[in-house]
Amino acid sequence: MSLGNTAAAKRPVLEAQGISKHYGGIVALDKVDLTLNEGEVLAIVGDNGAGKSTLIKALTGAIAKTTGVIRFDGAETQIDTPGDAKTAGIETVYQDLALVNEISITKNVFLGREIVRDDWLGRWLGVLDFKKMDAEIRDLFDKLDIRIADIYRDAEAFSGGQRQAVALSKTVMFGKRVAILDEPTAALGVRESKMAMDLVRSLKDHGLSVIMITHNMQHVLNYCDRVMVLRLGRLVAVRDVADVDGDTLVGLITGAKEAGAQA
Amino acid sequence: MVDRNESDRLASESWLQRTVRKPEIGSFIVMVVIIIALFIASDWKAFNALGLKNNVAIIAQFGIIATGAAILMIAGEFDLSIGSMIGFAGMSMAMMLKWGLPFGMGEATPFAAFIITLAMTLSIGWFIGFVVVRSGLSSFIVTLAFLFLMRGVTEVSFRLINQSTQISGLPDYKENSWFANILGGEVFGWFYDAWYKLGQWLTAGTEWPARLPNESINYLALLNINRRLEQWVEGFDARFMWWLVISAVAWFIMSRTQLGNWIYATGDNKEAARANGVPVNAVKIGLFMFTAFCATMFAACQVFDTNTSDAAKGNLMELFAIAIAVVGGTLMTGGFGSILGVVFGAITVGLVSNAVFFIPSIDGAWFRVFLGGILLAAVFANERIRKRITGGI
Ligand SMILES: Nc1ncnc2c1ncn2[C@@H]1O[C@H](COP(=O)(O)OP(=O)(O)OP(=O)(O)O)[C@@H](O)[C@H]1O
Ligand SMILES: [Mg+2]
Repeated sequence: MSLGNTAAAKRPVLEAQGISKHYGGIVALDKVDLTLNEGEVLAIVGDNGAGKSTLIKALTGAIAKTTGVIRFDGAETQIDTPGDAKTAGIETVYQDLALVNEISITKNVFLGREIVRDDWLGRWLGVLDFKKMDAEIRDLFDKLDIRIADIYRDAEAFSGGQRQAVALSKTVMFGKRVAILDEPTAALGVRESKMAMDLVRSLKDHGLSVIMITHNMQHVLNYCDRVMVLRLGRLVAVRDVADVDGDTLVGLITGAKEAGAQA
Repeated sequence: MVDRNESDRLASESWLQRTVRKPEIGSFIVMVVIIIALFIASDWKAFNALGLKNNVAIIAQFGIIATGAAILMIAGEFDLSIGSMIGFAGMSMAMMLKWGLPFGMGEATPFAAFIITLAMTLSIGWFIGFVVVRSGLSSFIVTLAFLFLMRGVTEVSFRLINQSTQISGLPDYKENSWFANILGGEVFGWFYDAWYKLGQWLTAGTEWPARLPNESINYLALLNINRRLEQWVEGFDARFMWWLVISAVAWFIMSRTQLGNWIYATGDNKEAARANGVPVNAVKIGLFMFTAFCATMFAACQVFDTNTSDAAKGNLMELFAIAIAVVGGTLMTGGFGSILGVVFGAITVGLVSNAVFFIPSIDGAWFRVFLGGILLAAVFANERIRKRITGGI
């Protein structure tokens, strides 16, 4: 499979082969391959239920895959839990698992990677350094222009868009190599959508490779380098964005247009 | 409206509003009401020197196991095996003390009996947790199975090894063993010493204690002075100290540490917590071990205090533990609860369960009526439900 012009020179960061996920009799994902190159933005598109979220969950260890092999930086890697993925430098914003409702924004952003005090209390007992976490969050939110007044409030007290913005900010805070975003603009207003996409671009500028699931063809065309199309759990096409237009993509997604010889 | 930004939407809350939103406020109010009512109804007897000691003893018992139950509930699981675990641990310790260590390893010291028992109960707790997280079965069912299983094993072991389901008349280990003494002995003697000193000081130079009209004994009791005008009560039961230690550690962990954060997150949304890298299975297994630890402490204090054990010990305690956790504001569905609330809940339930000793005219069964009542009230008054009713969700 050729990787296309723009990406041909690049090295793959994350490769997956033959990823399948069966839920009992349902084949949510059927032997899907994926290659993410260094520094690119890869879009995953497909209808509702096509298996997009399942794919990234299987990639990042949020669900146990039925079959499949994952290579990171060319070496075969076991990613069995989201913790494994994070250790490898992969930061993910899941569609439905982004935030925990009843803990504060601060605790949410740092969940699983809390900053502990820089003394024996922190090292031995895991005593949290709230001051430092709050300060880092305020910096981050300022930088990203996220407007959240009270970071001590429980996450459930915020609008869908605000929650989404908070979840996205985690990729900036913690993303080292790869950021994976499941429908980052789904709940967002105009200003926030633009902010989210600018964030994707700045992740890329900072040298991260990005996988982004979206239903917005404009975002694919404007912000992504390559696009893969899933339909009913199968990979039907991988294209360079430069080679497709919106109609072609829609055709591939719905099946009106058959993929033919894949790019 | 010029330059209105997000922070302007923060309505400033008054002190009262903030207080009312605290999860432990309901249990605090109930506790205060009960304390006052008991003061009056018992003619102050519930809080004289001995009354306080006895009340604190039962409060501490409840508090120890309720703390374990509450944290586990915050993490989204139940443990119905607490009561049977108490019976099992008590049996195990008493049996070793009476019949020696297993496999003929000689006589058991209190310390050895405790440590070996703790190793067993922690292993069982680990196994329960392991079964729950691996099978994905409801912890209600799994721990219900262990409720029966361990009570049965306790009785069978008693009959096989000891012939009877009771052990009594063990030597008073606290006399010679410091270890038995910190579990079953007395603590905070300074408190009762000071109380007695205060009593002496208040009665110094007055005539009435010496003449001792019968009713003045009640007043002397309030001053920690007995009828021979000596110090009446020497200290609290050691379990009081253990309850304070366990509660303080639990409070610290839940509010200040990474682990506490993980426990809340696990109970609130297990999948999201896992997706954020929280080791939710380890958290849950650890907490099942913690409830086993609390049950073992309960049993150890009992065994070394009374030098007896009985196959029925701890019966129904799992339900009291859960009830107290709920009265204290812990949410049945996980993710929400407060250690301070559990402290208030334990005080409330402990006082009421003991009330019959101070108010002989009432029927002891009213305790259960009361417990059922406040349990329902607590569930309704719960922060979360209040939010839902007021359209918060
Ligand atoms: N826990 C589950 N149990 C059973 N089937 C599931 C489960 N999760 C997902 N599926 C099935 O797997 C298929 C793919 O779901 P997935 O969430 O990956 O879709 P998606 O492409 O992300 O859709 P959307 O655009 O709506 O987010 C669907 O048919 C869905 O019903
Ligand atoms: Mg999805």
